Amino acid sequence: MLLLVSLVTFCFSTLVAQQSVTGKVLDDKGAPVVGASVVQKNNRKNGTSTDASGSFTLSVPSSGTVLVISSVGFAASEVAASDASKVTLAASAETISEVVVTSLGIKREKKALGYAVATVDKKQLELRPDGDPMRLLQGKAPGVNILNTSGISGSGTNITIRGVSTISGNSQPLFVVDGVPFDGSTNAQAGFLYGNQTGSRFFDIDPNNIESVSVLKGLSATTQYGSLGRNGVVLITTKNGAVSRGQRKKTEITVSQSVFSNDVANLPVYTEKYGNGFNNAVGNFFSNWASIAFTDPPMRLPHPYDRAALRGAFPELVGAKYDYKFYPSVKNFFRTGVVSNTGININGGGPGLAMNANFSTLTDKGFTPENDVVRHTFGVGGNAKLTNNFTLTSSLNFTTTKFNTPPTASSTGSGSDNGVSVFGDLIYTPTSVDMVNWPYQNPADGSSVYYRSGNDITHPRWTIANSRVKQNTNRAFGNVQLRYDFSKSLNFVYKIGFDNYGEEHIHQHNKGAAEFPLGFYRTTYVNRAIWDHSMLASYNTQITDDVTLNVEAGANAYINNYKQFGQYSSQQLVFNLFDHSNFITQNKTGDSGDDLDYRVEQMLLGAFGFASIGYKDYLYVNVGARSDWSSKFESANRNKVYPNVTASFIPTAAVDALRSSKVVNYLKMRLGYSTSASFGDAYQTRAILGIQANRFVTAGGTVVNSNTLGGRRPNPTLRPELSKETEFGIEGRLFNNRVNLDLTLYRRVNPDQILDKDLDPASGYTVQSINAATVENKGIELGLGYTIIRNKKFNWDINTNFTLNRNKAYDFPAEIQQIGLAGYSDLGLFAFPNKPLGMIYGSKVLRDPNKGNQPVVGPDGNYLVDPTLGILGDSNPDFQLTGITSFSYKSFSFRMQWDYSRGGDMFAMTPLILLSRGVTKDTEIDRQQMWVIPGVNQAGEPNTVQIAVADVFFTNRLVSADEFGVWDATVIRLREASLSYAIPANFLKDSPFGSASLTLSGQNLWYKAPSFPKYNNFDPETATLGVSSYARGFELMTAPSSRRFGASLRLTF
Amino acid sequence: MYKNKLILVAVAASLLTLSSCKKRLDDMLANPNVPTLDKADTDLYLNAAQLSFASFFNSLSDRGMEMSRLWNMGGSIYLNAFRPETFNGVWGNAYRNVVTQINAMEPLARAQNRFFHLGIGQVMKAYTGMALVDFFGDVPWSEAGNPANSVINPKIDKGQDVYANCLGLLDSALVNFAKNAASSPSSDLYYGGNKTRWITLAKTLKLKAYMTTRLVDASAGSKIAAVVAAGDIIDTEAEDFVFRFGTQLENPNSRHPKYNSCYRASGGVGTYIANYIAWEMVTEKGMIDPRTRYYFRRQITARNGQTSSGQFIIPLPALSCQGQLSPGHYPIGMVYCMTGDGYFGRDHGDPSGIPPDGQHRTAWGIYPAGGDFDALAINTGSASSVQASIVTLNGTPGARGAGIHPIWLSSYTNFLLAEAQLALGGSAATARTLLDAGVRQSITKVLNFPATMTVTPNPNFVPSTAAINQYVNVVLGAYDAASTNTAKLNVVMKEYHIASFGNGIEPYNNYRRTGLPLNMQPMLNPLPGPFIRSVWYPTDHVTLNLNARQKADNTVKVFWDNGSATCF
Repeated sequence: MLLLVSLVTFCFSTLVAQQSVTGKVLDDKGAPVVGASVVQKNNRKNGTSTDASGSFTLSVPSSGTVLVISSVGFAASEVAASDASKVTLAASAETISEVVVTSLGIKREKKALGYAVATVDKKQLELRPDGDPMRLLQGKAPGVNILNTSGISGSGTNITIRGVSTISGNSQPLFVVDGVPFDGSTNAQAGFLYGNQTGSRFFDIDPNNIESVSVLKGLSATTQYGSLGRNGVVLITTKNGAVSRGQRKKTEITVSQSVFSNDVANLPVYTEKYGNGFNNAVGNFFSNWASIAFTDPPMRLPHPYDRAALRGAFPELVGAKYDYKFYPSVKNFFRTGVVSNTGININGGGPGLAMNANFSTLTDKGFTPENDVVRHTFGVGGNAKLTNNFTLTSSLNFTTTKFNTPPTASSTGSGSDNGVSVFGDLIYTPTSVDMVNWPYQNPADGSSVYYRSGNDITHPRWTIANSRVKQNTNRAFGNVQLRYDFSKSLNFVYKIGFDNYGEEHIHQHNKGAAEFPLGFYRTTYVNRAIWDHSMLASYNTQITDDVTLNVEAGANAYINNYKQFGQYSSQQLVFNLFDHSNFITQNKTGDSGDDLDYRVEQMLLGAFGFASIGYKDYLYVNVGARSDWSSKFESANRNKVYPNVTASFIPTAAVDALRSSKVVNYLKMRLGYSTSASFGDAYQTRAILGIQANRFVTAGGTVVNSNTLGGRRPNPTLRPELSKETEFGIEGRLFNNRVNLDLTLYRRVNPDQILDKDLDPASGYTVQSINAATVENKGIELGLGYTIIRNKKFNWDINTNFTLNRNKAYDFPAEIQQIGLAGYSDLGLFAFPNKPLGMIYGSKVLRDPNKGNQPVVGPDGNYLVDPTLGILGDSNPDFQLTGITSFSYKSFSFRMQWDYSRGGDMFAMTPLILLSRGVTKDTEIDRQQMWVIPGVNQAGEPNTVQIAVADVFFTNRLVSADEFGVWDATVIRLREASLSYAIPANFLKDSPFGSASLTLSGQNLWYKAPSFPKYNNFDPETATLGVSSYARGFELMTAPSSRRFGASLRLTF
Repeated sequence: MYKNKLILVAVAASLLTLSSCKKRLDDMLANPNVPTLDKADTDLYLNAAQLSFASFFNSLSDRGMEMSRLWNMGGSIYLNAFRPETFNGVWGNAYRNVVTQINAMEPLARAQNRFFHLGIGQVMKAYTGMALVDFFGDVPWSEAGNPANSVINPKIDKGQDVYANCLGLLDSALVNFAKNAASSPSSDLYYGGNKTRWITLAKTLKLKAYMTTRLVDASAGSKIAAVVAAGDIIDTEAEDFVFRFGTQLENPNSRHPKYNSCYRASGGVGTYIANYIAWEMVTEKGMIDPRTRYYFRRQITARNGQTSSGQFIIPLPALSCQGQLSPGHYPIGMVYCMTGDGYFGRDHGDPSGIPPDGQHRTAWGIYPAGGDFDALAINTGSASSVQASIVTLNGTPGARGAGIHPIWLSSYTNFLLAEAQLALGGSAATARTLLDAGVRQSITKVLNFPATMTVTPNPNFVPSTAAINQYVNVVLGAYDAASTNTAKLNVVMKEYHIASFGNGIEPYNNYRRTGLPLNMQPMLNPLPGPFIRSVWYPTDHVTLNLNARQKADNTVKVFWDNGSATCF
């Protein structure tokens, strides 16, 4: 067949040959362009490509014949055959992005793809203030939603692509580093109630080591990665993995150093008028509701430590007084952290061999005392062309990450829900409490001392000094790939990828605090090992002059083993010694009651085949299918086959009228329909027996053990989900390549969700994994760029990214009226039929339907709470918009990124607390006056009961219905700004440096969330729930956000 | 050739790998962290049910104590006092952890001839079912908690049907107890493996059921008479049905829940007692109830919260109602704000926030919580005294938490039989004897309690026999002075109320059945809405069970409540 095709081609070309033309194709620097396509314009079947020296020879009808010369990364050029002896191609506006790495290292021309790929190159990732590679992607790719869990250095990051399409499952994308899966998990050791600013494992990649990041968003792009890639794929090519064969480049050593300051970004503006008290009483309350203003000179009040329990510990304070005045306690509690990142990259090679190695070290000290993260990375990658047509490619990386933070459990008002939190009692510190200067530790026994007589809240500085969460990770990952080229058109690749890390989690807490007064020490050791074997055969051929064919077929085995071992000890003996033997009791269950020892093993096998047919250079059709077998389901249901088909059409190449258009320089339309499978969590199909050893000890000392029928109802018929997505897109460059457009419309339907259905415990079980309900996401992703000025000295670009996603869940079985997604059972994010996922659900004020739904006020003058819970808001934003502008003038360049997120509701405890406790300037109202809250009494008459100001804010907010904590989360933010200066090359001629540049940059420089109380300065970009599908829209006094500013220097030798 | 061989090797290797991998998929289906169901053990199932039964009793009892003024209830109107979610825990515990585990045990116990296990399971199930009906009304029962053939949406059964089924379970239990069991339970946390006691309990629970449903059962009198005639009911302290806690602080915390909330290392006492019960015992009779120092452990004493010079002894923020007049709707003499002598609790339905008063609140004492005996001298009026703070790092005061859940006591039987005499056409004189016995048994139980935990109370504050007799005489005097049977019953029910401290299920039932004691402390809010005749169905039931429907409000009566009793 092949022979026939080539024969035909040969015959055909001999028939038309008349005259031979020889030429050379060069780039703008005079270097030869290898592999450029040279075709006869009016007979595109007649063509050739340039050789290693950029030369070509082609037979054409006459010397006047027009040739079209094109190559990836260059603008196509048309010349007469007579002028073709030396053709210079100009670089096109799209350079590197023209070629996209798809799966298993296969490179594809972007125009052949039937789906959207957002690529972020190293320029947008290097020398940035944040060491977390995902946070740097914020706003840079439409459709990609990235949410910090907090400003704690090293804390986790949430990523969702094209909305959340699962109710109970995981929505994090797959990370693929240098062609093999890379674990990006957040191995939280306890739920949010216990604090989970756990670091995410993609933090192990230094953004400075990244060559490029491609985000594959739709199923069309990700089916090749199988069901693992159904939530999108973040494809990272490291500099070690980017070395390409036969690179003949001089050795280059790059050294970079960055230093940034790290400050708390969102401190409230505290009232300097009122202090600690409640209504007419001044004293040691939680709240700041004194109705008498500060005086000058200040009142002298008995020192709160002058109390019976502390007289022995602080004899100097017996009878002492303190000034009842404003103290800037919270501001002084924080510090300015310093972030330093040093990197060295060495790149070089010889004939048939290329190598890259790098080392980097990051030290990021947080604005919260005792929070820091230190990361060292080492890596080496290489590529060698061996004899016998073998090519060996490999990259190996080693990372150590040490993350330390004071604990940050969630809090619903004061202290913490269940764990320990340094923030639980910090942000609302009454303004007359001199927190920073009053001692925090009892010198006698090390216990916490604070202003409350009952010692019922822990001094935040005590927590800083005595309580810690640590996460130490050692990780090795990499791949070895052997490729054999049977011929130019057929090759076979075997690739093994590995990712193995040990992660040590420590949570330690000295005795003597209000929470866990006896102290505890929890250690867990996590081991994750991923092995990924792939085999791939690729065949590509030119069927006719016009028709090209690429076929790939292969198989993949993915094995992911997770193990953890832990111990939880409590009742510390000797203060400030953390060793399990220094604790009276030891346990194998953690603070949240979870088993600390467990393992999960899963395997996924896949086989796939894909074919891509190209017609001329303007029509491409891709078809393929993958079949996966998962270890999670019973054998009858473990397999799923899922096909896909996409097409792309380039009118600017197909239509003559457009080919030379100055208005429409490039236009591509693409359409795809794809499917993917999802297998949910392991161990859902079989009944288990719960074991509770040492559950109770009788007064006589007898240990009682028990076993229970597990609460999860087994479902042996559970089957995989099949997601379906239709995607349509337009890419274009208009007006002399000044306008860049990339528009995608998509609709993804995920029917038959594998979801955890909660059961009425009266059924005997509490939950069951079932196939039910549909989640639909549809949206618009738009990237629009405009080059305002483009000349040799001055360039000015504006790029905008627009993301709009509409989400809806439907087809619920009749018995499912709601599904709790995150938070508490009576306040949290929920799914309801025919509503978007992530509705905020909680308590409402009782309303009188006969009086126009006015709120009902009780006889004490306070709102009554409706015993039935209701929907309080929708946490999904309306849309997100990013604007990036970059100027460059000669050697200077300036870049600025603004992010705007519109709409979406949020339950936020921090502003609720700040208002309820009267600590910010927002509450500087007349506090002597009595107030009547609007509403009707139980008889339906207008409320006339007068209450004090503290009751208006405290009783009718914090201890009233949850609806008072819901705000619109719209926020506008200056995410990044940077100014760079690259020393001109001619200045460096006599120096050892190849290049040198200096960059000043800042992150999170300014933001405004207009619907929150003005002086709260609340930043809605936070996620108390940690890393999960549903993190947006729910805040429980979590850590503040960070603002960074600094400079970077980079030198190459 | 070389290339072809290479292809062959590659294809063969792929196929081999794939087929061996597919075999491994099967091995990975079972959860490696837990055993499979066939490893279940009858004893361990029974242990699970026994422990969950105790915590089921605790959570339901707490709500009952709150409604019947044995413990403080917040929420300014009855409609708001509890939310449906409040009952998720107790519901889950009842069905998942008690009923389902007992049902899961049953086939094993039968197969192994462990009839003693089976009987205990049936008794606990019967108690659970009736208590669920007492609080919620109609509940899932016939289709509930069946692991063998589980029904996702169990239907709701009528309360009377559940009661009938539970009485049947008690009869089956008696049959099983009579059989020769292959073995006794490895741990019997209630009666230490004494089968005779379980038999006595099963019979007593039938008596309790007949009495509870007497308003809607014309034959209640004869049924009760038959049980009494047959004898073998809980009428001595040795037969009391209690769950006894341990003293272990952690891993696992095995102490009484009230001990855990009161004897904390920081923050002080975590909950409030109800002013009403303190007032009943300290003030109402003009004498101190002999049980007072066992029930309550004060942290301060101050007569009416004031020193002799009229200074507030409790700092104002801790007790902002000090010095204020009683609300207009309170009857004359009714306690308001604080019972004298430092019994620091809260009024019924006080919705206020939590001021810094952890060092002042009165804690649960040694009975039934296993706490500290109150050895604080009575304030003479000259100055305040402060007892050592109960805040102790190691949580060791008193009986170190080895308290009990008084699920059924012999004193309850006596009060209940006294009610039968008065309400079902018996003899007032017999009722008087029963009342006498009930009060004395309760006092004996409480006063003997420290010794069972080898705690010796300060002898200066242990009531003398004369004091006990004096108390009993005051009670009997009031009984004799009461002219009608209802008034006499009011005396009985007040003593029952006091005696049931630690058990909220009985006084809540009693209140709805008799409307007694008559002088319950009103809600602080003058317009609190109607009393809670049954509690909300939990959210977990209403939102997850297709057959469930939330009640319109909390005036819905359970089947045995004919509305004859006035409750507020």
